[in-house]
Amino acid sequence: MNQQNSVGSHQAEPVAEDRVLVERCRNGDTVAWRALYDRYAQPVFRFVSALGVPPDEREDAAQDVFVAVYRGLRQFRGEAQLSTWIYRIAARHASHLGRRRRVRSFLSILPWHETEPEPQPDPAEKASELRLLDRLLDKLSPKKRMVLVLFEIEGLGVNEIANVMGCPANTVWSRLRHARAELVKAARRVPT
Amino acid sequence: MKWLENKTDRTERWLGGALEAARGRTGDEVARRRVWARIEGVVFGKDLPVRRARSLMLPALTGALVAVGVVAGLWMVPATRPSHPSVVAKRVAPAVVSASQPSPVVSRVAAQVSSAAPVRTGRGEKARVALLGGAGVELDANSVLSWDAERRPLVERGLARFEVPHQAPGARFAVSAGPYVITVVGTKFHVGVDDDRVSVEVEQGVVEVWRGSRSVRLAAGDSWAGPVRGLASPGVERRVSLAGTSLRRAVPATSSPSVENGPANAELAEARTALGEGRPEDALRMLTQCGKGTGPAAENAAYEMGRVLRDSLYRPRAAVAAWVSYRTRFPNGLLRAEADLSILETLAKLGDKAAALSEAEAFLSRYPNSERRDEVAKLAARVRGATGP
Repeated sequence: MNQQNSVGSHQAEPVAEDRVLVERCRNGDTVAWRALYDRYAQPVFRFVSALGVPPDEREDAAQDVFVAVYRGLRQFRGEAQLSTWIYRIAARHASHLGRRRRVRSFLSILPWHETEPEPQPDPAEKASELRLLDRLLDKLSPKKRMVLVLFEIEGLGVNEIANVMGCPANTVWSRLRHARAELVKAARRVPT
Repeated sequence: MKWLENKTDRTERWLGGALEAARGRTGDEVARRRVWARIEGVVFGKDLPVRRARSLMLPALTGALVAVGVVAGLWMVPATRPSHPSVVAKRVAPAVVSASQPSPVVSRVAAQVSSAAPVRTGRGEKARVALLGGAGVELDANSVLSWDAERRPLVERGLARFEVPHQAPGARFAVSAGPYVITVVGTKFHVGVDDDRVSVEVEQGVVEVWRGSRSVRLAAGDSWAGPVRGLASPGVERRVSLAGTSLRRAVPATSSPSVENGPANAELAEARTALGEGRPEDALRMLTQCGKGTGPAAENAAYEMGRVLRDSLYRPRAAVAAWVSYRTRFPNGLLRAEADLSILETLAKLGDKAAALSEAEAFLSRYPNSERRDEVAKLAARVRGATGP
């Protein structure tokens, strides 16, 4: 499992650093804000990408996540890890964008609406492989996808995923098992 | 056997590789820097609150009701209505009015207004309104100017020509029009609002058009137009971006070279593809071409040329020259601070200590409140340490 660049590291040091960072951010320290952004920007970009936010909306999504972090940091009580809290915000935001995409796609079939243009692929991506993976992930239910992405791509532990999603650890295990099975099944159906 | 550990299974092997690729999908450096620049503007530039995106259904229903109302109104109301000026106006000599106007024209001067009732001009009528902060606005015929909830001038309809004196450091003058907010430091610009679109034309200086937390920057001679009711259609509801996809920047036909952001963005995307495919020379050629234009895509291209030269073609001196050229062309560009830092880092790596120290000092003096001050100061200290005995 990948732990590199994950914000869900369980080592004590990053958590302690996060506490200091949060405190400094609350005191209006702009250097700390930049440090917080530098620490979490990559995971947030990766997370929203894996949750199906199209390339041309990812910058907007990342921006909205960090603005929400900025606005909510005073209410952050520190009961969860900072990373958990940021993942929760990002997950909520990605779900919201997903719902809007579905509504748009529904509206686009109405005769008086303009056709929604296809999102442009990100040229920097390993195009075909990642696009196919995204299509397969799209077949999972949002909850299963979230668990799979947090575990397999973000490298979070089951307990932290349970905190992000607000459900028991057993539910996480169960969703993960089903998500993996469905993903492999869908991948096997892809003609080679 | 654990999940995806069966190396003989082609599907599992592929899936493992695809998940590994997804772990590396962290956005490119320029995208992350661009996002930071925008967050900095929204979060630390307190004058521009973020509006939450609205849901689609409510505006659609509201739009339908309004449309029904408008149709009913047009059917019931007589074709011409007398105008009802709502601000006490001083009549001025008609000499200011073009003789070619077919009807008698009255120009009105309203007192300094900050929260008064809307100013309306009727047919063939013009009004000049003095605003707080020394700014002024001239309203064309059939226009309406009011004030929004944040007491900013709001162009509801018609054409308004704003003249804004240079604002104090940190201060920004803002005008609302439909779903957009136009912010300026000091400039002359026109804002037009009709049933379908909001347009902005800049005579002098630089203005930014904001929608929620997205913006596009316009310089003198540029014009831009966007839909008034973006939420009515999914195509235009998509949020505007600095890349200029929805908040598109149009260059007037008289300006040359005439480069629009649509093709420029495509060129920029092609350049990135070429870079991703290991063709840095092609990428550089495309970026050079794209960088010759105007607008956000050209600005991004001008900055990215430096990255390609330094990181892919290993020509750090040429990279520094490219970034210097970037900041000459875009002295107030969104990536200006990044260009300054890139020059500084590259010079330090090249061992050009005097130039690096000079850049560091310039950075610290240019950005006294930058969150990257510490980073630059440390870099300067390291360079200084290396120059010592």
